[in-house]
Amino acid sequence: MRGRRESLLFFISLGLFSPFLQANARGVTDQLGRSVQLVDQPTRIVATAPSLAELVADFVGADLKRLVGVTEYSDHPPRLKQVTSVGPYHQLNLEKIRSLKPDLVLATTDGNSKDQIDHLIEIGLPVVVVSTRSFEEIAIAMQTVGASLGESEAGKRMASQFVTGVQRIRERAKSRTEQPRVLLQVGEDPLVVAGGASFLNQTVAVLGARNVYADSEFPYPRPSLEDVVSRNPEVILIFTLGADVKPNLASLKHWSEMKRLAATQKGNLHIIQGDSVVRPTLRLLEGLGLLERAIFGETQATKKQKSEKAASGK
Amino acid sequence: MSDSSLAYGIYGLSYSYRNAATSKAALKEVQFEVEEGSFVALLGPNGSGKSTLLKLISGVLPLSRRQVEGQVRCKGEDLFRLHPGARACRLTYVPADLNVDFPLTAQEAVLMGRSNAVGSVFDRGGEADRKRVEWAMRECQCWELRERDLRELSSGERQLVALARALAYGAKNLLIDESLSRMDLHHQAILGSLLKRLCLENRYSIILVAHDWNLATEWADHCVLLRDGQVLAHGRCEEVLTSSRLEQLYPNAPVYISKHPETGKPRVYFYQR
Amino acid sequence: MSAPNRSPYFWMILGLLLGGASFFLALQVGSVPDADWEIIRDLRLPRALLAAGVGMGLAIAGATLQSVFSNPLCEPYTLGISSGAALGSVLGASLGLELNFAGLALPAFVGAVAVTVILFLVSFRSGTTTLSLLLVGVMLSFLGSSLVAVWMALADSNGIQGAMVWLMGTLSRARIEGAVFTLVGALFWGLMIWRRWREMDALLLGEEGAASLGISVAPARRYLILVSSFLVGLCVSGGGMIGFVGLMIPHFLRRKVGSLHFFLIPACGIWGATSLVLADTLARTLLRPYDLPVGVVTALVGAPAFVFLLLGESRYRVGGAS
Repeated sequence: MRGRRESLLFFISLGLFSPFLQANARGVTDQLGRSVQLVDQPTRIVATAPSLAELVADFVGADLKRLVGVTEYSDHPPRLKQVTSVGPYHQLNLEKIRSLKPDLVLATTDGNSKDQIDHLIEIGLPVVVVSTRSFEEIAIAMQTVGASLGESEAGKRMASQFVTGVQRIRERAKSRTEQPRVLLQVGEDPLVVAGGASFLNQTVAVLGARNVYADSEFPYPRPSLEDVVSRNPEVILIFTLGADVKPNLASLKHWSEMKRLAATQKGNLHIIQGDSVVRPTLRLLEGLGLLERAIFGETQATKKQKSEKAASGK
Repeated sequence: MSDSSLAYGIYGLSYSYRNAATSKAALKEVQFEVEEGSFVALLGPNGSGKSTLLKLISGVLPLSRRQVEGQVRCKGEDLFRLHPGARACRLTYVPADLNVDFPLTAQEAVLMGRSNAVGSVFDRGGEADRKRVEWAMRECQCWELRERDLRELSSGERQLVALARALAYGAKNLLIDESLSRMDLHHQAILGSLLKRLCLENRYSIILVAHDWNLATEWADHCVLLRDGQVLAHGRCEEVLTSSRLEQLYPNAPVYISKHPETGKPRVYFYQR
Repeated sequence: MSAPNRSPYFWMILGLLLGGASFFLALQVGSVPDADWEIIRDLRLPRALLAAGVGMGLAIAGATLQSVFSNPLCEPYTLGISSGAALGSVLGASLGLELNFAGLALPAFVGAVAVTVILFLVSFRSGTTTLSLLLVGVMLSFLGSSLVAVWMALADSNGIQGAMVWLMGTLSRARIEGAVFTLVGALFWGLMIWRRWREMDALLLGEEGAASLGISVAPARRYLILVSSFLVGLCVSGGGMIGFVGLMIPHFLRRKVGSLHFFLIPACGIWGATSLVLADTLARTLLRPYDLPVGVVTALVGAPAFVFLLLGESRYRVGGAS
């Protein structure tokens, strides 16, 4: 019941929100509550984080010329590599951004520091700031970015697609009885996990699983091995953010040697390509699916196998 | 000993250290007077308070009312009521050595002695000051060293510069703290005659602390013996430096006193039995 | 070996000319080849002005501290005063004490003074050597930097990288109001220090040497160290922890202009400003489009020079208080 009420609230807030997005002749309200004056169709866009670059790419599609500046390591989709770099996302090169004469600069509170954002605003650039700390905020961010690009309809479509997708996942979660304990490992040496204040924690909660470190106030705590053992996770997910999986394999091996863990006993040790799980784009739905299969998939597959075996009478 | 020829006088001066674990005082009831034109040797064993006395009366030691009792009077003024700058003008302390870690020429060091006596922020000393600096350095036999970096000079040469600085500063009452101990004999002799001349001709008064007793007594006409912060005796050298006094000062060291054949000044010999 | 001929006026005029040239260069050069006037006005001009102010302030503060402690190896960074100022700034920021023009200069000043009080207590007891003074400074520096890092990590998870950069000294956050404030402040406090050139000269020869010339040593030291702390607070709140400017500029200039502060202080101001403007230009252009923290440039040049200095000083007596 809670889920249905949530999604209702969601659609209501979307509806309430839309007037603001269309109100003044091209005044857009960003997620910090600021009203920003923009041109109808921005053609010189700078994205100050890889996630934003991906989002913009989704909107503009083939018309990538509209994106004139991205940060380092904006590599998804791969064609972004051709776009001019404005430096790393935590130390933007303001001269570079300025020289590109953007008519829209997209920034995010999840990646750019407040001081950087303030500086961008102070030198007179049209900055729209989004916030993507929760699923609700991601939906709003999608609409905000869409509106900023002059693609309000596309933005709303994307947001509702997103909301529907998340809704479906929530429904599935409700239909399940089990709530496995999951360890979300994001760092190898030292061991770093996703705690209660991280976004990963929310994704796992949506799936109906329980993050063993949900009680931590920090986003990325560093527990001791003993602590992990005492919490006895049933599933261990090792997230990788790059192409190099060697350290992750080492971790995998390490866990598999610890026979006391429930996850090891059940064989629930998985490496997850972490990119799709943290980007605030539609790809997140794929990522959620990936996580779902990793956490629950085994059980269902085994069930299927068992029923097939039973059926074939072996 | 009329008052007009008195340079300054110390009356009932007592001083104790701030963090005295015991209540041992550094100086107890020190009292003596110094006349213009006199050369006083301040003598005593280590730790008897000689340096402390000189630093205190010249203002080099920072004062606090709780630590000090007594007075120092100079030409009718109570020195302790004066600003340290004014005090240094009356009684100039010449340190045993100058701490140098910076590139500074000897002349610059002596010039400081003048520039601290002058006025506004922009006044770096005029021709008269430079002349005085030259005079002071020539008298102290260090004019040839004027362009040399202080760090390269021997400690004896630095002592010459310290003395020149005090002379340039202008006060007529000098308090010299072991400043002659590291000079070679040649320089010592020249300085000795310089100081005597300043006393006799220019009415300077000098207190000299020196470990070489015979050096001190050779030049000095008066003597002050200090032990444990107290004045054991003061007066003319011949009267003060007797065997019995010295035995009181150094009970374990036999001493023999004779007269210098030419000058008649007392000469002190410590020996081993 | 005699002391080299000192020509203070020549070196000051040379410094001014070089300063003008480097300022001009700073405006012309950057990450972008053809910058329009807006970029120059909004980004490069504030940055160059801030560099000039911070460089001036740090060099003068360094010369002053060297005189106060009678020690040529002192400067705000190595004595830990910079990190005290940094800690003050960071705490001030989280308490919301940031002002419009002055920024975080006041909380930074408080932090700087806290460290100088500790240094005062340590240093002016009898028997303190150069070594112990510098060791205390280094420890305070480590402590301060670590506390800054911890605080920023707790306060803002995005801020930690920014904190790291700031701890190494950066002028990339220059705004025109803050830059002008810093420059004017550095000029003003520099002047206030310069007025005491006699006391600073006298202190060069140690406590007794100064007192024998009638200087009230303790009040003079207190004043000079207080004003230096204000300068350090001003500079650190504007540009983070930039090291070695306060050490190298006075040291270099003493050989050219002499140790007497009538000339040394203005010369330090001029050359300090010039060298930091140049260092910042280098920091911006060395690894385009990356913006190196300017403290990295000063450290790369300054730290080896510092070691060289240390070895050179051992020719003379070192290690004793007067």
